Amino acid sequence: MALELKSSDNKIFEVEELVAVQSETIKSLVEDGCADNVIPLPNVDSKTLELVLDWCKNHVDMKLDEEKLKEYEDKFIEVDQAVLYDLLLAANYLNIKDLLNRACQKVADMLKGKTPEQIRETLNIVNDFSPEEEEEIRKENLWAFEE
Amino acid sequence: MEDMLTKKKKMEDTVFAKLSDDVVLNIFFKLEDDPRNWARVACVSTKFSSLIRNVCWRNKCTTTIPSVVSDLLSSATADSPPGGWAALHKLAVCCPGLLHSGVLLENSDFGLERELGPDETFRNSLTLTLNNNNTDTNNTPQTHEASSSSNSCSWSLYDDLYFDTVYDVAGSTEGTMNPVEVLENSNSVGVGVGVVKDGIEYSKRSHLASGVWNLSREEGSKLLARQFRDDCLYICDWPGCAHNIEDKRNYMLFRGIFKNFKRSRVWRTINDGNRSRVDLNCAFCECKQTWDLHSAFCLRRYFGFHDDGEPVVRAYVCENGHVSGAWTDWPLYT
Repeated sequence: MALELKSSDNKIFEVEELVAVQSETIKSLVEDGCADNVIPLPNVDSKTLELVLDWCKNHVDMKLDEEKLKEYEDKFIEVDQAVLYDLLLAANYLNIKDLLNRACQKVADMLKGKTPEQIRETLNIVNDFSPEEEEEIRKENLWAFEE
Repeated sequence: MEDMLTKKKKMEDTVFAKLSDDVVLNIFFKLEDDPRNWARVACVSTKFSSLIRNVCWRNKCTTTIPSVVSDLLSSATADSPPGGWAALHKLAVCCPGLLHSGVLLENSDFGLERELGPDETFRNSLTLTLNNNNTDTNNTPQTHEASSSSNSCSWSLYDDLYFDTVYDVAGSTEGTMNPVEVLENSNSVGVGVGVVKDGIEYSKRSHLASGVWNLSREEGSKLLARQFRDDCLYICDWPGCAHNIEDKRNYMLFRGIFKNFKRSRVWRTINDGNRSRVDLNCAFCECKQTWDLHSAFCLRRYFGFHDDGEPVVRAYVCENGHVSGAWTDWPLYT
C-alpha cells in the first residue's frame, strides 16, 4: 500500500505505508482515513523529506539488525548544521521519535563542554541578557567554568 | 551596537527560535549527566535560563532529593524553594569552597572580637598594612606560607589572598568587599575580608563537589546543639569535599539547607538574639551576609576546639536557610 507525500516545494514522494507510518503524524492521518489523497507537508522541503524517508525506510529494513542500524544512524547524522536543524524540525513536525532523539543527541553533543559564547555561536542565538543580568548569572554559575 | 529590535529580528530568524520548548528540553536533558553543562547553558539567553531553572533544575532536584524538595515546598509560599531551584540545585552539587565555609575568615581570634569587642592594637596595625599596600595591584602568583597563629602578627592567610589577587569591579565574583568598610564596622570579623576575583584558586570558591550528591536529615541533626533537635537541617553526605591548605589542617567542607528556616529555633535564636551577620555571602543564593552558627552556639558543644582556638566545626547560614561549613580533624589530644 503506497502513500503520496508532497513536500513544501511541491515534489511528490511515493512511499510504502509501512515506511511512512514511522511518522506518528502520518500514522494518525492514515488511521483517521485521511490519507487517500496526496498528503501535503508544507513544513518540509524535498531535500529534507528525502533524507527523512531514507531514515524511515532503513528503519523498516534493518529493524532486526541492531548493529547495522546503529552504523547507519551514526553515518546518517553526520551532516552539516543547517541540514541537522532541518532534520530536527522535520522530525518534530512529523513526530518521528527515533530521528528526533538522534538529532537532539547530535545537537547536545555539539554543546558539551562549550562556553556560553560558543553555544550562542553554534546555535546562532542572541544574548538577550542585560549587562547586569549577565554578570549576575555568571557569578551564580562560575563553578561550572574553571577546572 | 545593535538595538533590541534588530536583535529580536535576528532571533526570529534562527532555527532555535522555531523549535518548541519540548524539543529544546529534549536536547538539554541529553546534557544532564554533567551539571556544568546546564549551568553554562543557563548563561546563554533568558529563554534558556528560564528553561534550565524551571524545568531542568527543578526536575533534577525533585528526582534526586525528593524528600528535601517536598519538605521545602510544603512550607514555601511560592512553588519553588527559598532561593529558587538554581540555589537548591547548586547546593546539591556544589561544595561551597573554603571561602564560603568561613575557613578563610579565620583569624587569630576566631570571632572573639565580635563577642568581646575590638582589639585596638590589632586593628591599627592592620589598617597600616592595608594602607601601605593600597597601590599594589600586581597579580602575583599565589604562595601560601603557613600563617602564624601568634596574636602579635597581623598577617594571615586572608591578607595573602587579598594582596595576590587583582581587584576588578566589573569581573568581581563572590565575596567582594571593601576592606575599609569591614574595619569601620566593629561588629564584623576582625581581619579585613579580602576581595576575590577569578584569580582566586578554584577550590576556594564554590565548585562541583566530589562524591555522591545527596542531602540527609540525619547528618544535620548530628550537627546542631541539643536544644535545636526539632529543627530540620539537611546536610550533604559526610565527610563532604576534602580540602587542605598547605601546612594547615584538612578541611572537610559541607553544605546544607534548613527546612522552613524562618520557623526554626535556630532562626529565632539568631534573629531574636540580634546576632550580627558576617559579611560572607552565601555560596548558593544572592544573600550577601550570613550568620555564624558556631559563635551563636547553635552547633554541638562537644566538637570543641584546637589548640590555636580554631573550632573543629563551623557553619554559616543565610536568610534562606542555606548552610556552608567546614569541619577539621579532631585535635590529637582532647
